[in-house]
Amino acid sequence: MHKSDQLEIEMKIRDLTRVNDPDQQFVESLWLKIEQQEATPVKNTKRRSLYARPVFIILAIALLLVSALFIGFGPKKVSAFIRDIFSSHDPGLQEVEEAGLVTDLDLTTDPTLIPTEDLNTEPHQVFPIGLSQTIDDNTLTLDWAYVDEGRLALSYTIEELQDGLMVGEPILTFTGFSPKQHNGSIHSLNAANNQTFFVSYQLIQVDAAGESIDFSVDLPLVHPDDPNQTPVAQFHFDLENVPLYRGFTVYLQQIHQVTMNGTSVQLKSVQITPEFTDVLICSDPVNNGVSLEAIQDATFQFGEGPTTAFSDQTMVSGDQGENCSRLRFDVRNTDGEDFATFTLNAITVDEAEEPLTGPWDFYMVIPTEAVFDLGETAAVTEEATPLASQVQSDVTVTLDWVFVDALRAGVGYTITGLPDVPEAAGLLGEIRLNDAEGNLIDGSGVASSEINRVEGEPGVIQGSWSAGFPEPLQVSEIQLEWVITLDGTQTMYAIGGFPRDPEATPYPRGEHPPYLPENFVGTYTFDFTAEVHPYTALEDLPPTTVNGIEMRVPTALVTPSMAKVMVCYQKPTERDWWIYEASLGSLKERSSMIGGYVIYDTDYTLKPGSAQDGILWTVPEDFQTLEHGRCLILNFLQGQSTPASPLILTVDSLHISPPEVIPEDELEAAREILKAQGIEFDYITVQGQGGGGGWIDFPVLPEGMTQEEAYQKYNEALGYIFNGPWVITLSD
Amino acid sequence: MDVDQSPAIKVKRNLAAFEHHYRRWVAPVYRYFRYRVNNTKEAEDLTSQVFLKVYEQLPNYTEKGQFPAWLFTIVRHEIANHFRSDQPVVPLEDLGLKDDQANVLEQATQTDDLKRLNKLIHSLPDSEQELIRLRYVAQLTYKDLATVMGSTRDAIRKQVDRLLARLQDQMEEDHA
Repeated sequence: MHKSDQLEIEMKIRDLTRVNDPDQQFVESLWLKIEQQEATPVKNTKRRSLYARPVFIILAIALLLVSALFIGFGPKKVSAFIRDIFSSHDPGLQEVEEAGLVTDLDLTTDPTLIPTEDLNTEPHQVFPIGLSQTIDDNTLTLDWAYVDEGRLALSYTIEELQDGLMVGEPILTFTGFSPKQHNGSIHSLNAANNQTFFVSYQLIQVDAAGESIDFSVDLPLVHPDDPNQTPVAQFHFDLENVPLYRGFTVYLQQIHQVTMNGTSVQLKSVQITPEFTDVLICSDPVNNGVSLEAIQDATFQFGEGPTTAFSDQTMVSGDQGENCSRLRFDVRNTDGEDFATFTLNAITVDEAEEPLTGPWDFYMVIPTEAVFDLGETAAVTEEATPLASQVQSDVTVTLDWVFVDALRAGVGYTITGLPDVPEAAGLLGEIRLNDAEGNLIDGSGVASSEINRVEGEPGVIQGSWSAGFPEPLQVSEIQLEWVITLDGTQTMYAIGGFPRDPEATPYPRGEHPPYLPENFVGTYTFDFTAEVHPYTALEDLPPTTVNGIEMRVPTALVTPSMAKVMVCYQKPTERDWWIYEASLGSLKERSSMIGGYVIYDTDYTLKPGSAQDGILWTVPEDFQTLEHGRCLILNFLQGQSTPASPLILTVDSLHISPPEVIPEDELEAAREILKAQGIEFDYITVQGQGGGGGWIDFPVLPEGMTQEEAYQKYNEALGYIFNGPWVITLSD
Repeated sequence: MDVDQSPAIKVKRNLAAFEHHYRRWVAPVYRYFRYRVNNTKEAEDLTSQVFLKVYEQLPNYTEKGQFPAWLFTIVRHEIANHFRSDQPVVPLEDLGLKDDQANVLEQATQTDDLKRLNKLIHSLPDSEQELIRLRYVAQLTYKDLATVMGSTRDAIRKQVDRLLARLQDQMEEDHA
């Protein structure tokens, strides 16, 4: 089906199915009811969650005690206290000791203060990111990040992953500080919605790193059967000012190290995919470790489901030189369990001897959306939050911000890595905006593009770009794809021109300034989802009459970034009287119209009720019987984000275009009128096979009058201008 | 820490996340009901019942994930129950001034095209009507729609596209 047919039928269906949103009072009162239910006892669940398991509760208590004691007494006294605990007759704590769950304490000679915030703390909101990158048709969207002193969580979705590839473990690189005590990670893909959660456990102290941190995320595309996870390609995101919350503020846990019978094994990472689960374990033979070359028995269990033995084992090198083993389990989290257990039962050390037996049990929480407070993740996309960067041929394009309302979408971006050429006149290439289906949003006569050099940063270019939608959006959020191509090999398309210094020496005739870039650099694709700010429709505004011509605004659509105004008037004659200049704005700040089109004209074939821009612009009934009636739609890149200051529309004048050759009698009449005003003009005409034309020269002008002012007088004398101004206030 | 209190802690933990879900989904759920029952008060009652039920079952949700799918399972169950319940048949003239009267007036002013389309939609199989209700009344994104319908986004998008194409063809046939 043709796209326009689809849009048309969609519009009709929307018309048919439109119902109002709920009353806000109802929404709030229902939420109050729900909150009140909190006070009532909650039914117990069928099965205890991981947090209800004694081992986790004890671990949590132990962590809190230990952290408090570290703060209060220092590490030596703490060790003595722990020895005292374990010599008592507390069976639970004995179990902890036997499981080796607290052996991490001696690992750090320079102990780091462990966050002490209570685990019952309400989670803080995630930090929304919501931007995408595409590499070879693989589109990855980094949805959000969340960081507290013990956990760093990321959520991303990937839509089109080529067969045979998967996203390997994310690589985090921090700016200005180094996390301490990396305690493993988990990477879990939900096959149902392609959403993946990654949680890395380490210590990042607010006191050391500050209340927000900068870090980058590399997400490698790897082959699933490559034990070393060598990247085939890599997505890269630079994140800035990500809030760092004190304490452990989300309910995520994962046991990192277990020492059993004097042998320590560490769980480095867990990767859960729709096809298999990989576990990376390491052991340092120098430090209570053992070679993991021959794992005899290990199992993985989702929730309280069946245990599955590993199907494959590969030795890999650890970051710290320890020996590591990647175990593959052909098991999937089909029931959406929120915790899992990896158990290492037996390790063969020497063929001739009995194997070392465990179990080394590692519990882990599988991250899900429910763990996090997602907040209004889409709402921030209009702000200058850290968005994505892409690098091609050493040139980086960073999407700095996006803004979408019902009539227009705009983006801000920064380009670094192009050569610093101060005399360059502009940037060659192309920018496109596509909808979620990949259809081009062509601007519908509404577009803007600006580029500027950044002062004090040679070679850095900042730009902003926008395009109008073919019809007003009726949705609350939209997914869009913004594509920028930097290509100096063609000269047909320019992204923008740099502001020209009026003092600069002009180029000699025949010489042209250079443009950036010199060659083809690449195409950068950014997918994002943004909140759509709705439009306000103003109707039947009070008309105004000047010089006997009434002008009225039957409808105006106003968003925070632009306005579409329908203006109707009676033409002085049957000719093509056009609004040549109009502006919109407050008394202090005004914006000229950027274009418009005729929607109705009595003297032409356009009839009332034409649907344009997906809008049924309705011509007032009394106007339809008016002689020489005309309605236009005018576009202004001037909107209104708050109704505090009403917008004022000013139509300066009505014009008709001069004919190719002005008849001699009309010229003579005008000459007489202008002579009385001290203006003389020469009208020069040419005739050729392709048609004719003419231009004006003003050899005599009153002192101080510009050519432009004289031209205005000339048009008035010829009767080609009908002066206003007509001023209409756009408000309810 | 008292072990028996942990489920309550879990619920409390989820309330903040649940408020996000509530505010994100209360309007789509309401719109869905409002369209189905054509009455504001009944739509509000059904919406309340669903969210109170969802809240009550919150501990189970954390074990299942995919909130929209779970929510709309309850929504569809609720509307099925609503229509199954013994509702007295009231003659049209006795209906009084229900707030759907405005819609009747609106329908009277609909263009012929819209009337034809309305008829076509109501002649579709229920599964396809449901697709239209979820997509255009509840205004679910394709992603959410896929989760609710237990399908993939691409498959749902194709399904909607095919449905629109078929409706368009039928409209054109009617014109001819």
